[in-house]
Amino acid sequence: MAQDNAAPPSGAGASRTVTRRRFLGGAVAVGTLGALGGLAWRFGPDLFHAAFSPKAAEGAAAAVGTKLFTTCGQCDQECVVTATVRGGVLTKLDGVPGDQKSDGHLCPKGQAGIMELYNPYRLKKPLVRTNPVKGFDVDPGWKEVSWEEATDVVASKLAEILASDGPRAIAGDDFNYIGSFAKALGTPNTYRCGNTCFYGPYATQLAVTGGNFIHADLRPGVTKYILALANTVGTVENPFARQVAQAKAGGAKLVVLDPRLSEAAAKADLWVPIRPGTDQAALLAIINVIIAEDLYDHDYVDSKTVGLDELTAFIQPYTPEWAAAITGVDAATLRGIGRDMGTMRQAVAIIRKGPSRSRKDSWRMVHAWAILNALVGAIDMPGGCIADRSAPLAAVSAAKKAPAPYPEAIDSREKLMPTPGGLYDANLGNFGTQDAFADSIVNGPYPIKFLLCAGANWLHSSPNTDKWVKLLQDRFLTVIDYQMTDTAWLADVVLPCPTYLEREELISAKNYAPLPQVQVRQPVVERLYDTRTEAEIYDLLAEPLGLADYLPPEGEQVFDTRLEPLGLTFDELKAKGFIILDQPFTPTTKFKTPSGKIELCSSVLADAGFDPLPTWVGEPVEPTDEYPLYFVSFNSARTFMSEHAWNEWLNQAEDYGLWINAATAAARGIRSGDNVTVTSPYGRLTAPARITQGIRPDTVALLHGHGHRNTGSAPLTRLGANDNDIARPATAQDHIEWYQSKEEPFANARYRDFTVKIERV
Amino acid sequence: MARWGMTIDLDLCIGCEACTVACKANNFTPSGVSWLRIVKDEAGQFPNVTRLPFPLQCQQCAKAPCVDVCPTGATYVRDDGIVAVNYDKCVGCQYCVLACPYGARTFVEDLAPYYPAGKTEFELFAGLLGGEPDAATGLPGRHQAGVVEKCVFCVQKIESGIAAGLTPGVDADATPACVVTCIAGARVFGDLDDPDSAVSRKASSSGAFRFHEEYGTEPNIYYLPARQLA
Repeated sequence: MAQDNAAPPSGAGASRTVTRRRFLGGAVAVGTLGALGGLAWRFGPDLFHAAFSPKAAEGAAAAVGTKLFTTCGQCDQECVVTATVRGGVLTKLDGVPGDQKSDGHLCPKGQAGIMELYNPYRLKKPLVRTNPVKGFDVDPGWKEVSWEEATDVVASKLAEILASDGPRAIAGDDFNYIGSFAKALGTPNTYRCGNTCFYGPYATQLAVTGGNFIHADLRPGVTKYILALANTVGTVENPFARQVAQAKAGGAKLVVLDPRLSEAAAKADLWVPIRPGTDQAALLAIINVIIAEDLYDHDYVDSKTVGLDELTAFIQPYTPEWAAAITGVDAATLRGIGRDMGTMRQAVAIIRKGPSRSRKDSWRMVHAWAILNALVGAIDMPGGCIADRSAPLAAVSAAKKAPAPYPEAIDSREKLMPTPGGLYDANLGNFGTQDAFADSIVNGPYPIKFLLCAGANWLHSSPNTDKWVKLLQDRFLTVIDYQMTDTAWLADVVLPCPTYLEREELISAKNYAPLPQVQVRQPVVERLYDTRTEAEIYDLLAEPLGLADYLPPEGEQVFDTRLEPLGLTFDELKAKGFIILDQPFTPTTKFKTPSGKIELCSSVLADAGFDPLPTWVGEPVEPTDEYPLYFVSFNSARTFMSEHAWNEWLNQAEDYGLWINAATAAARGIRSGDNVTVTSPYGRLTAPARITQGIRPDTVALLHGHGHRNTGSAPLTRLGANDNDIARPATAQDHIEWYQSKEEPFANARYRDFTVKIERV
Repeated sequence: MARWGMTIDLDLCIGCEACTVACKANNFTPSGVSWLRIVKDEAGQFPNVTRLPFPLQCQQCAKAPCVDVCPTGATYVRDDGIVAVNYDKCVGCQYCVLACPYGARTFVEDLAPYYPAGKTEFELFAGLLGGEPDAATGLPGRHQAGVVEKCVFCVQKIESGIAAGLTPGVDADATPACVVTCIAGARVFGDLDDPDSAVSRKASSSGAFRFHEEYGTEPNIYYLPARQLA
C-alpha cells in the first residue's frame, strides 16, 4: 500500500453544482479521502517496480485505490479523466462529468489508455543502432544505453554537423517543442505534420472567414440538421461523436455523404454514397437550391457576410441536375438536402481533417462548405460550428534566460523547401507537406545530414514509404517516441518518452469547448521506464552544445505563472481537474477578413490571383481501364492517426480488412478473408478482404494506421496494411507550380488523387 | 430487493466499442475473452443497406437456460436478478455455452497474456485479485482457466456502490462500466422493480423489446428500436 497517496475530495468542474455533488458522491465511495494537496507525485527512483512485489499488490488488492485527475492523450481532443490507482497500478480510467469534452464518458481509445501505459513493447531505454544498414528485414542491432551515452552520441553528431555544414543541414519535425531548439541551433528547417492534417481546410477558411470555424457545436434541440461530408472523422473523436448522438437524440436529422457506410453513415437518417472526390459538386448544388429558392438565413447573411450578389450569379449553372451526373447522387436527393438545410434552423455542414490530405482541389470544396454554412447562419453560432474559445493564460518568456543574440540566425529564405511566397507563405508558417519534405531532403538545394522526428512517424503519415527508407540510409536520424514505430526502426538513436499518463502539463482546452476550459495533466503513476519528455530531451541535447539557456523554461513554476490571471495555482488545478471560465458563448460579429465579414466571394483569394469563388474544375481523378476503382481510407473509433495499432484491447475489437463491395469482389473471385493486393500508380499493398454491401461498387476502402512493418513492436501492429504505401506524393516544386498556375493556394496533401486495381493473391 | 436491468437504445448506439473496452478495463477479462460484443451485421443490398450495431451480452434472464442445464449449480440467479457464476463450482462442461440462446457465455481455455512478451503490470495485478467480486473494493473476481464466464452487470461496482450509499444507475461508481462510458448515452441502468426509475420508464416505452422474447427467457435487458428500422 506504499504507493497509494490519498486522493483529494475535489469537485470536478467549478461551474456545475449538480455535477460536483454527483462526483463527490463517487469520491465518497472510494472511502480513502485525504487532505487536499497530499497527492503530489514526483519523479524519482523507480519506486513502482520496487513496490510491485506480489505481497505489496495483495495488500493493495484489498485497497480501494486513489483517484487522480488528468487529461487523456489518446487523441488530440483531450478529455478530462480520473485515473484510479491501486497499489501503484493504474486500474481504471473514467470520464469526468461536467468536462466539455467527455462529460463523464470515454471512447474506446480513452478506456484503453491502461494498455497504452503497460504495453510491454514500449520503448524503455535509449537505443543506439549498431548495424549501419537500415531496413525492415534487417536487425538494427539495438544497444540499450544510458541517457548520458545517448545524449553524447546525438549531441556529438549535432556538433560535428554544425561544424562541417552549419545548422541548415539539420532538419526536424515535432509539433510542440522543436521550434525553440531549432532556433537555438540556427536552422530554419523545422516541419510539422499540419499540412497533412488540418491546415488545408484551415487555410481556406482563414481566407474566407478569417478564422477556424471547423469544430461542431451541435446542441440537442437547437441543431436540427447535420450534413457530414468529406471524410468527417465521425466517431473517431469522443466529443464530436457525443455531440452527434445527443443532437440526434434531440431530434436532429443526420445526413452523411460518404462512399462507405461508415460508423456515422450507419446511424444516419440518410446515407448518400457519393462518388469519391466530388463533395464539392454536391455542395455547389445544395447552395444552388438554397439561393434559387431563397432559403438562406437573411438576417445572418445580411449582417455577417458580403458577396451574395457575386455568389448568386456564380452558382446558377450548378443545379442538382448538373451535380447528379458528377456525384452519382440523384438530383432529387441533392434538392431535398438543400431544402432541408435552408428551412431547418439550425442546420450545419461538418467537415474535419479529410480534405487536407485528399485531393488537390480540396480547397475549393472547403470554400463551398464555408459558403453553405454562412448561408444557413451556422458559422460561430450555437448549434452550428464554432471557433475555439481559449482561456487568458499569461505568457511566459520564450527562453530560460534572456540570452545573447541567437547563434548564427539563418535567413528563412534559406529553408530547405522552396515556397512560392504570397498567400501560400502566409498560411500558418508554411510547413509544407511531409511528402514534399521527403523529396526536398533528397533533391533539395543543400544536403540534410541530421533528421529529428518526434512522434510524427513519417512512414505512416506520408506517402513514399520506400523513399523514406532509402533517404534515411545515409542520414543520421534521431527519433523521440514511446513506441517502436516504423520510423523509429530506421533511426540511429531512439529516445524514449513517457506516455501521457506519466506526464505533467497545463492544458488550455481547444476543440469542442464552447467555453474556455483549463485542465491538468499529471502523472498518475511513476514513470515506468527510463524515459524523458521532449522538453527534458531538448534540455539534455542543448546542454553540451551550450544552448540550454535558449530553451523555454519548464515545470510547475511556469504553470503557476501562466495560471496567474485565473487566480489559481497548478496544485489547485490538480485537485480540481479542470475549470470552466464563466464567459458565456458570444457569437463573433467581426470576422478577421479585409471587410470584417465572411467573404462569400473572397477578396483574399482574388487579390492573390486565385478563384474568389469555388469553381468546379472537373473530377480530380477518374477510373481507367488499368485502375478501375477509387480508393479511400478512414480512421475508426479505435485509432487516432497512425496510433494505437499496438494496443491489444483496441485490436481485439478492430477490423482491418479492405472494404470491397460484394459485386466487385465476386467479379474478381475474391472471397471474405482472401488476401488482396491493391495497386496504384505509386505502389502496392496487401490486405485481407472484407466483403460488404456498405460501399460503392467502384470504391475500396482501408483503415488507416495499421500494417506496421518493423519487428520491434507488438506482433499485432503488423496486422492490416499501410495505406501510404499506395498514396500519391508531391514535391515542393509541384506545390510552387500549382500556386503559380493558380490551381492551389495552399500546401494541401493530395494523397488520394489516384485510382487502383485489386487482385486476389 | 432491487431487480437490476438495463436498456440499450439501438437508435443511439454507434458501435464504437467503448463499452467493449470499458468492460475489459473494469472486469480484467483475459485476452480473447470479452463479456460483451457488438454485432454489426449488414442487411440489404447496396445502396439500400443498413448496418445496425447490436450490443450483445448476458441478458440476465429470469428464466435462464444456462441455470437449468448447469449440473453443479455453479450458475445461479441472484435475488437481485443478476445471473452469476461460482467459479469454484464450475467444472467447465460448457453445457451453458450451448444452452445460452444469446451466445453470451465464454469458456476460458487459458489465461494467455495480451502480449506475447508477457503479462502487463495490469494483468499481474488482476492475477492477485480475490476469488469473488469484492463489495469492499469494487474489484472483480480473479479469472480462472477452465471455467465459463459472462457479464455480471459489474456486480462488484453495484455492491460496493450500495455499501457507500450510492444508487446504481444514477452514480457512476455504482453502475456497470459499459453504461458509464457509453459515449452515445445509449445505455440506461437501474431497478426494474421501481416503476419510477429511468430504466423502468425506458423499458416500458413504445417499441421496447427483449431479445428473443419468444424463447421465454425473460431477460432483464430491454432494447429500444432504431428509428431507421421503425
